[in-house]
Amino acid sequence: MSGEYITIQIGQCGNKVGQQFWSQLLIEHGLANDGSVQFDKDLYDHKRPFFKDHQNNNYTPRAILLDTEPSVIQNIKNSYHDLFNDRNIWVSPGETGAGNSWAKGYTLGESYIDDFFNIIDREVEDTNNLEGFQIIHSIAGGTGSGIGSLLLEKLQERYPSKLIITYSVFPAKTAEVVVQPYNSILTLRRLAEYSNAAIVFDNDSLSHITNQVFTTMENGYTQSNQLISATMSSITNSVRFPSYMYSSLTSIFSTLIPTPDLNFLVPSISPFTSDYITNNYSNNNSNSLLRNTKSLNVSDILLDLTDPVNSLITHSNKSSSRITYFNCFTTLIGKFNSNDDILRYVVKANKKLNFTSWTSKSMNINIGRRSPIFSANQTESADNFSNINGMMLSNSSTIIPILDRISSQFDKIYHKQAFINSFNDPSRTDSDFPDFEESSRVVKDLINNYKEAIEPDFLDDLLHDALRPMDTGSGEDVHMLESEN
Amino acid sequence: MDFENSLQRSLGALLPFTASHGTLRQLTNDILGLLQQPYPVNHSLINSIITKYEGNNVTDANTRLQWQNIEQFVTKLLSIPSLQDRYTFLSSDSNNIISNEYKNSTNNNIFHSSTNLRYNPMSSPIINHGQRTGQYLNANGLENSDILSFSTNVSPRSPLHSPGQLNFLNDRRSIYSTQQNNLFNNTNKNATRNNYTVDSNSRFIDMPTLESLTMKYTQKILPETTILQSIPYTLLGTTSELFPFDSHTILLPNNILNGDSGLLHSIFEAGLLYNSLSNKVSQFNSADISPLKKCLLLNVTNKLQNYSIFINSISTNNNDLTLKSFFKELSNEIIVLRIYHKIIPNFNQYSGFQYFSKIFSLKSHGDLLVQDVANSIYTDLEKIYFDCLINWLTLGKLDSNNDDFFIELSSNKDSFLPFAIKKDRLLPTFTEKIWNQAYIIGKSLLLIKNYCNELEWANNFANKYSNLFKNVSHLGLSNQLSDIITLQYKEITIFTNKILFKKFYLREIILALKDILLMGRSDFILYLIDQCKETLMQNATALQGHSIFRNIKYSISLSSLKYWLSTPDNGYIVNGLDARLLNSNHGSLGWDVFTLDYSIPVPISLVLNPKNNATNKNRKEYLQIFNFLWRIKKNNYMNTVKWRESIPLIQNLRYLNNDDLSYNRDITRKISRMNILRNKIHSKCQIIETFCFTNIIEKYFSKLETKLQILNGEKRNKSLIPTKKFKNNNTILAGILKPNFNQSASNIMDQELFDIDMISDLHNNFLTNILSHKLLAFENKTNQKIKIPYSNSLSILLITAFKFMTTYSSFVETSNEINRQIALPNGDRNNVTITFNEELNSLVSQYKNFENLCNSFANDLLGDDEQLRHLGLLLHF
Repeated sequence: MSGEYITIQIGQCGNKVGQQFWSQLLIEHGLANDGSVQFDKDLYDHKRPFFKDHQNNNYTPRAILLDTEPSVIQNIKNSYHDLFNDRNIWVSPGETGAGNSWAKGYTLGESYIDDFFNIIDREVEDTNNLEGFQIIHSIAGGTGSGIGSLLLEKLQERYPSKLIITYSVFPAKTAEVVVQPYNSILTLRRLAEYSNAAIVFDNDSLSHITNQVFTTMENGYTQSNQLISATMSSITNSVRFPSYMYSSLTSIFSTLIPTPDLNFLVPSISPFTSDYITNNYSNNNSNSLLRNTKSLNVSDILLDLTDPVNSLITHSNKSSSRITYFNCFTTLIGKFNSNDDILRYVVKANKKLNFTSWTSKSMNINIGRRSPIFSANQTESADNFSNINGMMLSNSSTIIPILDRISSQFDKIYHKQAFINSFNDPSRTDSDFPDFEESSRVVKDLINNYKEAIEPDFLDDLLHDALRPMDTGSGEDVHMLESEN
Repeated sequence: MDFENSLQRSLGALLPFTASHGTLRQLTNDILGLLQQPYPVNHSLINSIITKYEGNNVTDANTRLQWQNIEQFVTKLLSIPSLQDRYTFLSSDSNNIISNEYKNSTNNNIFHSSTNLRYNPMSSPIINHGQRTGQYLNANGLENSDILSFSTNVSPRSPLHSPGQLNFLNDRRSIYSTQQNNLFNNTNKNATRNNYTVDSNSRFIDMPTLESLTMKYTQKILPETTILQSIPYTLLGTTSELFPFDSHTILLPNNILNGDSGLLHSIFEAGLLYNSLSNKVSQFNSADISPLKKCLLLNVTNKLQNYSIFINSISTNNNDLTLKSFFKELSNEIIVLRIYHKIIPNFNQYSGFQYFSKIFSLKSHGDLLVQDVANSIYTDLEKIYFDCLINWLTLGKLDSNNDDFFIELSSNKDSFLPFAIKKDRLLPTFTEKIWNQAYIIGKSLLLIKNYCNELEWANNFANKYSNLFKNVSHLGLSNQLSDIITLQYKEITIFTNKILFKKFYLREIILALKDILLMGRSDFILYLIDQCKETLMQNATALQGHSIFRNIKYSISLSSLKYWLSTPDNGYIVNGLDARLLNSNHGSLGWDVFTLDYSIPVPISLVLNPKNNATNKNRKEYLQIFNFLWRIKKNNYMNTVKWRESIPLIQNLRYLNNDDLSYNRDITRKISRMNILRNKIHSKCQIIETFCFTNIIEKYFSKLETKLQILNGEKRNKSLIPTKKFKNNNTILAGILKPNFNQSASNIMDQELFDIDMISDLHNNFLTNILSHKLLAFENKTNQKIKIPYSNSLSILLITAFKFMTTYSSFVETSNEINRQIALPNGDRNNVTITFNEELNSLVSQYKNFENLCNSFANDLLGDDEQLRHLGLLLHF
């Protein structure tokens, strides 16, 4: 249950977020832009899960970059010369983009699937004990959704025992692309069925929070990507800077996801500190880019994280009490005062969370280690305890409105068969391609699963049913044994 | 005076007091008549005359004796032919007659006449003629008395002023007075009883003068010059004809004056003390005793030699010596001898340090003479002690025979640094802090020399401070010495820290202990479990140590600990890591017997291990904590594995196309719900895990870590510069506005130094704090309702969770079998569905059992302190 993770970043969004993520990791692990060791002191970190270690003290990200158009990847290559393994970069040779069509992306991907798996298999061979894959993509465009969906299916098929995590950027309410409900619904089906943990970001919330957090809006996507990469960095912190608990992503998600039917996770982040401001800004003046640099104590951070305004997906409920939580995982990164009784704050924060009756009714907490790089750059006068970052992943009913929204948007345009032509590929022989209806059904089932899980008696029937006879499906009744209780 | 008068006076003296004046006159006339007889008088005639008077006057045997004396007197008088001779006889014997009269009348009660003093310095001096077993010259009295000298303001015969003084001279005079008083009192009593009235005008008016009475007596008294000739021998413990001296007794002759006798008592005390001290010295001189005691004996020997010289010089150089002047010369010596005598008794019962300490306290005695003597002895002892101390401070050398030093070799001879500071052997010359610093200096020096191989530094250090100590050696245990000790302590502590941290990776080893045995690096533990998972699930008897050890090394190389493999010392830190297999019970799994162990390398083990068990390189406390945490990790691992296995199970069921979709849905639903039960149990275990790591281990470790960082120079000790923060975030130096008297500047500076014992204490406290936490303590901290320790409840909870995971594991396998049967065209689902239902039922049952136990445990915690109450709140279902 411990090992390496291969990050597959797909499409424009996936690669931009990926770029931000790797630049964050380079800083945290004291590596230069080319992957060489920049900080000779032992950071007590664990690079292996995300970096391949070369004998010459150079590290290469275990990353695969896929896109149907070259601009973003070229930009990455320019910025991070020699960092990524060139053989892990795939840009569609002929086509330029997937035309914002899931079907085009999916079909294009199918035609290059062998190339993809050549890269993936080779990367897997470079691992000692592959733990899983993490995919970064958006679900609204063509490449991230289409190729992303294809890879989810194929990875599940090829590596069924490996963990598959997705960082999926959901579209804003206002459609940027008219066909995004189609793209979204088709991708959502794959996320529901093949992703072991789907971490969701939505553009509306990202925009809202970047406005709250940053003083500048020069490049809105950059800040949004920093928010996503900060979340990813926080989630993987306990793997990269191992401490007492949660040193594998499996251990985190097995805590968060009670059953594969409830696999969508919503992140919250607070405070967003200068630790997560990376490229183009020197660390010294990074604080000036943030609106609020006031340090928060642990209690404040936990309460902030339970506040829906800090959630990275938008929802109509302004109060956390209206959201039903199944599980929560919070990671606090930084140095704590040893006299702080973290559990006391957890008890306090739990009161703000409306846990459903069948859960453990408490957030799980991880105390992460802040990269020593940040401490080293910090002036001595600064209070060590002030730089605590918090991130919460919750499995909750928050996802229902966004799924509902996508589903209803899809229903509206699908009902009219609007813009459906771009999804019809005459070259394909399979009549059910793309599987709009099946995808829509799976998404509706997913919504139903969540809605059922909200109910307080969700588990009760099982506990009682255990005593009654069960249909074997072969026409015979098989009587349950008497319960010991 | 005519003959008749002389005769009458003589007879009057001989007659009993009961005889009347008429009887005297008539008797005188009768004897005169006999004397005038021309022929020799027959004795019978004399007897008849005496008998005639006696018959009227005999009252008791004493009186009868007196009459017999008269008869003898008359017989002797009548035997003298010439009148002149008779007259001379009457004149010369009159004093004798009076003396005899007193002697007879008191039945030898005059103590002086038979004085025989017997001294016993070990018990008490005895006077053989009465009950006067007084305190003087009594060794016990000497020991029990705080007063060691005569009062210097009064004559030797004056009584001393305080109660318990050795007032032997006064006592002796009292004896005399008492005897005399008794004599007269008895006489008066007798007289009163017999209705006899002394007529001073009638009978004693004619008695002879005292001079005439004493003249003959004093002729027999020993002259003072004779006594003085023999005194020096007696004073030096030698027997003489005049003063026979056995080991404890000096016999005085009876023909010396009372006054002289009293003086001799005083003077001869010196002889007895000398003799006693000499005996002690010769008794212990060849004994195997500590250097301090040897030194003390040497000092006594020297003193006795000086005393001998002094006695010899008095006796030879002083021609005008009298007993009184002799006593005057000797009085100080007697006091000095008494002081020694007070010190020396029970020599084998007291340690050298006790003598040293006693003499140190006498240095501040109110009596100057005592002070002088104490100073003289102390100087000698201090020199010896000083040398021992310097040996320890510069060489770390401890005399194995020295049980007087403030450091002793501990009973554990196998220990590397088998020393212990003896708090009851700290002389008040220095504060306890200084003594402790001195102790640490030697100990650190040995560590540096013998175990850190820093011989050059140790030699330089020894030379440097040897020179400094030489400069102050004449001052003894002085403030200057303590200043140097403090300086030395700081230097060696700083160097020890440097060596331990930089050369022997003290901090890294503590981190390794935390990261490995206390699971501070869960990635390593996870890699290890991954590598050993098949072995761990096997029967414990199948476990092989060497294969596990190989897996440990490999896991390190995969994990974040791999940096330790590439240290310049080639894995020095992780080399101590090993696996240990506990004793297995029947049916135990590898999980139950596996434990990690860390052998702390020397010299760090000397600092980190308990003081009384430095040879043991392993700390059982770590193993205890590891075993507890291991059970938690075991549950975690099982949960994670089964979570992964259950995902494809449900995914597969979704796509299985069979004719009975409701069956598929039901199975899927139940598997999904069982997942939820597993997840819930896991979450509760995670809460316990978080509490143990965050609220117990990390809480105490971060305190230890902060100290280690300060020691390692990675972090500045903020407390060194105490500050005060205002609400407006302004910070000022503490005490600048309002002085803080609680923290002196020196204390502030000392906070930065942590010697090896302090580091050891830090580490020990860290472990003790963890193991004595209510949740982990194996005793005392009881579960309120069922009266068992929390740790037991916790164990039961974890075991129940593991049982659930084991059943869940079977349940997943059964579910997979159902999947396979569904996939088969003619698959048989009946049997497997029965098993599925049984296991599901069992899971529900175990879940409820866990829920009950967890709630019960949580309820107990709710009644405890705030921290545990929070845990209770989180654990409650």
